[in-house]
Amino acid sequence: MNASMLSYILLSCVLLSVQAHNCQVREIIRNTKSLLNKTEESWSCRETAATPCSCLPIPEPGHELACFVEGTNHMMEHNMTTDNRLFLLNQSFQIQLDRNLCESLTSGKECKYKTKGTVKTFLEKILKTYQEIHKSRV
Amino acid sequence: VALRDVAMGMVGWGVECILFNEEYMTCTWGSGQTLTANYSLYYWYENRSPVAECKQYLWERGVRTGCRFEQSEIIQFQPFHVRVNASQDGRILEIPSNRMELQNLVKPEAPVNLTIRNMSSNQLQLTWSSPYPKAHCLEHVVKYKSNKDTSWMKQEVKGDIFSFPSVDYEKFYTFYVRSKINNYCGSTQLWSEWSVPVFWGSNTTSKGMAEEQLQWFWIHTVLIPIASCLLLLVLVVLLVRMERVWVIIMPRIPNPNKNFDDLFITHNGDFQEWVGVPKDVVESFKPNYSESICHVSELPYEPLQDSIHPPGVPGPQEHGPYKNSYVGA
Repeated sequence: MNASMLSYILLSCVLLSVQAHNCQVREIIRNTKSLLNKTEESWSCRETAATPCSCLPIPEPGHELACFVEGTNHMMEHNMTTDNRLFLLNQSFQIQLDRNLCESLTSGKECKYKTKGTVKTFLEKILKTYQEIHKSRV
Repeated sequence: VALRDVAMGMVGWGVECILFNEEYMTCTWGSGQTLTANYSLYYWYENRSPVAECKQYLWERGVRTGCRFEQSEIIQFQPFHVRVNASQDGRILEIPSNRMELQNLVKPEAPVNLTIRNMSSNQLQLTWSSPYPKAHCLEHVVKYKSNKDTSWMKQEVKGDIFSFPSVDYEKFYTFYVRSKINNYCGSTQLWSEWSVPVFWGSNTTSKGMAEEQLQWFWIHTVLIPIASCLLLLVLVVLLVRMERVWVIIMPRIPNPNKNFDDLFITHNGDFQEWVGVPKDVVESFKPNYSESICHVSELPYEPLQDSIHPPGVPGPQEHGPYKNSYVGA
């Protein structure tokens, strides 16, 4: 391994670490918007006593990340969609929660919610939360 | 006007709120056709402030048709509710609105200071600025065409620079720009108004185009009609004077007189002789018998005496007022 390759690897690591410390607001907004644009019929959500459609937590202020993690976990466990964006969102929320990457979001570790909502209302809550962060940036 | 009619009208319109450049907001529920009643607007944010009444109403023809909110009264990313009360003759009707997210109701101001620069290799660069304070929340559309195009071209632009790759120096271009809040700051379809246009093309091109248009105007409006009329006049005169041409257009009505000279002069009007009917055929049509004239008339009816027919039994003569008689050959 020569010096140029080493410097390349080091620089990549630095860039990746900077990326990992980013709140990734725009990526989350893009992925959430794409999932919202999917038709409602594509969501495998049949209303039953065991699997109600209003099943995702709509967080109270200060507990957004924890509820977003819990909600996306629930969606993946119940195979609500095969879209990979759901997995990417879940990963992003998990990382941000673990590392306190989003200063705008206070990282309460426990999900607290007053109400539960459908997939649409849950995704809209995610979208609104991150739009507010992006808009407040200088 | 019944309060029920007011309610029906309100349900049809709803309350429409727009944040103009995030400087102020108007919520309107009517227009010039708003049914006359006394309207009051109350608003609140979910989980935040208590219910408050509008401080500055909008009026139209003596009727409240909307409410204006100043910047200090606007909170985005908090569900916003509005209730309009319509009162008439002591009765009050409450008309609630849907829950609103004000960040999705922002309409930015139109872009300003449109500037065109010549770049190298026939490329133009259009730049502008926006009165909206958060440039990273905007997306834009550029609308342009040249003087030789019939329809406008539209191009979406994320930043505030638009590059026009291949410009034709013989043409004269017009550019417009408008803006909208992008998906990273809201979910809205409210575009700003189009900006004031900016033009590009040489000054002589535009002057030449104006002169050329004036020339075409004189040709189409004056010269061509006059020339057409003169040509028509010449043709008419020629037609009248040249009998050969006139006869073709207005042929003489043929006179069959000559065909019948033989009938009237030679045969003295005897059609049969002129046609050539044989004399024995002519004789055969003449009758070889004579008939005397036969007069036929009806005489008035005179009923017969009772001794001949019993009463009640009609006789053969009693079926008409006249007695039939005829004299024949």
